[in-house]
Amino acid sequence: MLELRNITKRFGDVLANDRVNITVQSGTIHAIIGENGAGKSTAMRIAYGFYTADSGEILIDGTVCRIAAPRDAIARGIGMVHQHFMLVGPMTVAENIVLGAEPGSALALGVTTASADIRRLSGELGLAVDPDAVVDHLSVGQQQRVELLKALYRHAQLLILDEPTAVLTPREVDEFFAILRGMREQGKTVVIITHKLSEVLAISDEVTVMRDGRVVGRLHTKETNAAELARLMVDRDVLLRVDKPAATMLGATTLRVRSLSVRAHDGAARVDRVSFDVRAGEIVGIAGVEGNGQTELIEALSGLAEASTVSGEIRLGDQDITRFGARARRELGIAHIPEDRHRRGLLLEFDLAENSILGVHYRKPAAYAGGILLDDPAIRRHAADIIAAFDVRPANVDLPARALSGGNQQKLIVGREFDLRPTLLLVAQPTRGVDIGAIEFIHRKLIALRDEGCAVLLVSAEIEEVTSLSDRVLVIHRGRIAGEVDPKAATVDEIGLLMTRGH
Amino acid sequence: MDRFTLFLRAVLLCVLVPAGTACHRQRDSADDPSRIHVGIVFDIGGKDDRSFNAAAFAGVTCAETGKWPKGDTCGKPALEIVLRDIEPGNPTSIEPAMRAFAERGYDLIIGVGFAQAPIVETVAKDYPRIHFAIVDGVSELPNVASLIFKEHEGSYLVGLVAARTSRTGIIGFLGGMDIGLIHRFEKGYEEGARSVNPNIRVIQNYVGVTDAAWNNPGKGKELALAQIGKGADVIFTAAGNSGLGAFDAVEQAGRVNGRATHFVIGVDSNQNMVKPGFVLTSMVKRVDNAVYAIVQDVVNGKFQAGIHVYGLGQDGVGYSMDQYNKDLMAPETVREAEDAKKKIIAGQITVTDAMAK
Amino acid sequence: MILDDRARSAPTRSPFRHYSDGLLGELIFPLIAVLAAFVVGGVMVLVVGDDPIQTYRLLLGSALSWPDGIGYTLFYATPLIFTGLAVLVAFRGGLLNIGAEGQLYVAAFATAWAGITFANLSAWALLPLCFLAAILAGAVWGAIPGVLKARFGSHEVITTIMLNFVAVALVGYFTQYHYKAPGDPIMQTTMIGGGAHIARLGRFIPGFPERIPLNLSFVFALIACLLVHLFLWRTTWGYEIRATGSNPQAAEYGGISIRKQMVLAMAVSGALAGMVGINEVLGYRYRHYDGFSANYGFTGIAVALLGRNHPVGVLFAAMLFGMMIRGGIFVDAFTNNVTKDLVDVLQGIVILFVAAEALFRGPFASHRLLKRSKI
Repeated sequence: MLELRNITKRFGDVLANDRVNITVQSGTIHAIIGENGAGKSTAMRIAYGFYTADSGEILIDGTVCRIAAPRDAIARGIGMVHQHFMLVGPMTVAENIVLGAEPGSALALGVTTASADIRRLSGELGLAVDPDAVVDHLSVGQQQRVELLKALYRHAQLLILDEPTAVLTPREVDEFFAILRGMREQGKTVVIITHKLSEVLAISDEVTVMRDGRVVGRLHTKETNAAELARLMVDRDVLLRVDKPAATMLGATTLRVRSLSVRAHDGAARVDRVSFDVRAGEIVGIAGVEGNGQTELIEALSGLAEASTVSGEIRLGDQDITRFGARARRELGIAHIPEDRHRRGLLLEFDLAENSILGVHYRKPAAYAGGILLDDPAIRRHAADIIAAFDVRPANVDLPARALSGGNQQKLIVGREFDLRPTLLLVAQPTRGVDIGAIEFIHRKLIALRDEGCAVLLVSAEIEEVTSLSDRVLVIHRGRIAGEVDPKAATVDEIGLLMTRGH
Repeated sequence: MDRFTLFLRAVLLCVLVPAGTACHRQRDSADDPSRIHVGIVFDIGGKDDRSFNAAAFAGVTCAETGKWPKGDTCGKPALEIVLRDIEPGNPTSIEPAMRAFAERGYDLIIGVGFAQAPIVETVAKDYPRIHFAIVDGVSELPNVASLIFKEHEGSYLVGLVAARTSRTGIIGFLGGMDIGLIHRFEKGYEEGARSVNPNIRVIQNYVGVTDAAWNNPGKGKELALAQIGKGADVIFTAAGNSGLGAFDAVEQAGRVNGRATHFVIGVDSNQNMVKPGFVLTSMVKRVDNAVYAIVQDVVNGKFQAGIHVYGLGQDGVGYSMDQYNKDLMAPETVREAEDAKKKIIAGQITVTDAMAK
Repeated sequence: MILDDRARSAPTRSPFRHYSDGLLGELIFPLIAVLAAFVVGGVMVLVVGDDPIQTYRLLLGSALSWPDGIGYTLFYATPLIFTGLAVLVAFRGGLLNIGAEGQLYVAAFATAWAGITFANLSAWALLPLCFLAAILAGAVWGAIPGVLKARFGSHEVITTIMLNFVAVALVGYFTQYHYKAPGDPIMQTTMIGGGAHIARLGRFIPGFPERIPLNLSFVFALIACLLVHLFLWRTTWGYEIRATGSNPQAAEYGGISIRKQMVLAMAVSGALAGMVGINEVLGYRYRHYDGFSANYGFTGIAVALLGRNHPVGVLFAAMLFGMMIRGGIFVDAFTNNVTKDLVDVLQGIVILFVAAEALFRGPFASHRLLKRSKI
């Protein structure tokens, strides 16, 4: 169906695609896997006409095609669903789908005739999308289906999906995969770009592995396994489980939480009378299905929650810090790696130097003259130190944070927070959306920090991550601590039951 | 810059080929230095305000072409001048607009409206060899002619007409911005009314204290309706655009047996045709005459600085009579007004000037 | 374009590095917008029956002639630099200051008030006092919407617009009833003390007549550009304002009080808008003249937009607008059919094209635009 031949694409000094050859068979689900920055999205954007290749050719059904813009790709039956949806929130599903592909001259006219078509398409695949619903009112999973419909409505025979599951809950992922299988049965071809091994194994027929802009493997999914794919991706054997010594230098209680509650604006308790301790030199994991109060708990501990919504007591050492603001808590040595690095952790438009001082921008070494003036050379040195110590690439302090891959963005945040020499580290989803190499790096750093005597509170949706990193695991369910388990002794099933049922 | 214009030419050429028009340059040929160049800077209202600025525009157009802006003859000869005008649109542009003419060595620069008086003074100081004229303002510089109107004299006559026409013995006055110039209208109006009916009641209202008072017909109508409610049946407006609200108000009051029950008196330009049947007359201020005359002076080399007063005697103010209002005014009222006019010109009646110190 | 820059690692730091893209990328769209506006404007000139080339020659020639053209162009640019900077600072803080118009009115009146009330002081005392009055009045008037937003969450677009009306009415009232010379039909205050006059540049530049109202305020405007740049990118306050504007949740995470930043950004914005009063009152009319502002506050929004919210960009955008105001007067006067409305049309098209820049930027920008429309 689709073949990329010797595609080369250069962005300035960076060779994003180096003689890439990818062949996608008609009627299959084809996964393209690789670390962030391996060039998989670039290759597919070339196929969709977002970029034009410097050299090489694109063949569709065996004939060479010139695809200079997305409309060329669409005309040839190629659709693409991006990681960030391109939908107009206040408009209806049908309007969104018709937008840019109006069958009639007037938009309103097109919408009414389109509605029926959309309903039919949606029914055939079991998408259950109401054409008249307003997009803003739909869940993320449903919005993604609208994107699918948009492509199918334009008669796409081949759909390229860029990291489609990044925004979905595990349940939605299952439903989504069922839809993809249904499409395959209808004879459509699907290309799915991902870096999650488990998904590749679960859904695809064939895999292309990319690394550093090159294709390093073409495999049939049935004939491979996670370890092999991981090795191809990072070019070395990866420790999927962390080897770590047990906590040795267990110190005094650093964080003491008593009867902490956080209420939402509607009065419902998101965190409900939670009490626990974290001691110096240990990692305490909080396991739980997302949305069970982890976010609110971390925000309450870091001082980001609105004070009026928080009750109970938080003590750091001997000090009651329940009423302290975020800055005061930072000054007492609480560092925080937030769960959403784009929303909380980074100023994406700012350069790396400026991002490296967020939270310490008003004191040495960033500021001088009473904390009024910024010391630019010192900030750049500070950033360069973090970048060097945490292997942030590319190592250029003048780049905007936006230009970095997810893993490198996360390493920058981790580096910045570690640089505080914290007594308590709050860390949430530290490896979400991060490639395997970076995951391993961050895990090792966390353990090193623990061994220096820092108290670490770790929240993660990955049971694997929580159990392998933590010395103790608390399971949170509906805002309450459902129980504490020993990560060495408990099985995944046991923890899973606590997470889903609360007992 | 040359390269820029070249590029522009190229771009425009491409755009223009389908349009295929030739450039009309009928007036540029007239830009020859032998002619007298006249520049006029209008007030914020712009030359199409159907009132004060429009009258000034009519005057200069008449001087340029011998015709009114609409195209019919103005009854005076064309003066072979080059005429350019600017509508500044905001107060900051007035001075540069005037300087634009001065920089180009125009022979006569006319500023319209009292607000331009200080600006004319400033610019005229920098260009002592250029003639300036200011309408409605006063300057004592040796190269500035101040064109002043005896609005109180015209107002006296329409006051007389109003008092003779009123059946209730109550008449109204609607002013725009509360300033001395408009007090002059009010005072003359009142005196004229009392000259025939000493017991007449004059209700007066002003729309506001800022520039916006000239341009608020809504409030003008409200005030006029209030005056009607108090019994006034003739209302004289001196309120620019806001006055048009009073026209609506009297129309709303309606007619009995085909004759309007309430009347309005227009101002500055002849406004009789605005609401035919409801406009008793208009107190016209012949800005066009004054402007034409000063242009003529410059053309003839007889420009004189100082104050040029236009009263009844110079045909600078008056009341309008035409087919729209000839049936509204009683013949004896007209006779009485004409009589008063002669007496004022002869100095037998002196109308108080509210602005005189 | 974005990826392009990712790859290019600039070893030295240029003053323009704060642009998200390269310098060229920042310049190209404003230039296209201006050029496109001129082409469309040229067609309109043709339609009304004048020669576009002549008209533009007149426009540019009169705006760049020495000394009057340059002098007036820069004189008109001066208030627009201040209001452009005002809009820029607020915008960098994530706020849309539509209230520069009101802020500059209040400030101009306050400047005149100080100049009239303390008219007998010497220049050394009076000038700083008048400056302070302008800056403080603007800052206070600007800070009000900031406080309202921080305290009650009222949207600054609404409150600043409303405060414009309040400012105009309030200043009009005081001018009419308390500070007007008795009997003066013009809505203006009495004159300020001679000590508060700022020198016109004609005094320092040979061959530049003093009748041209271009005064030291223009130099202050240039200094203000520099100071705004230093403030935003070289101080912790600027850092906090920009962080709040860029991503308030991340700013909060970094221990920044976003409420405080709202007030600070609006106060600084108002102070900059207020400096228009220095040019107008101390440098030009030597009194407060009611209705003096030719929509400087609103044009400032366009200036900031065209200047891509950077002080250097604002400087150039303000000069371009200054040229158009100056040239517009000549176009109005010395063409047969074209009126000054042409200049308004040109401005409108420039803004339209700048705002529609996403159309040129390709799929990435349009994607971001759509994302934004979801908020």
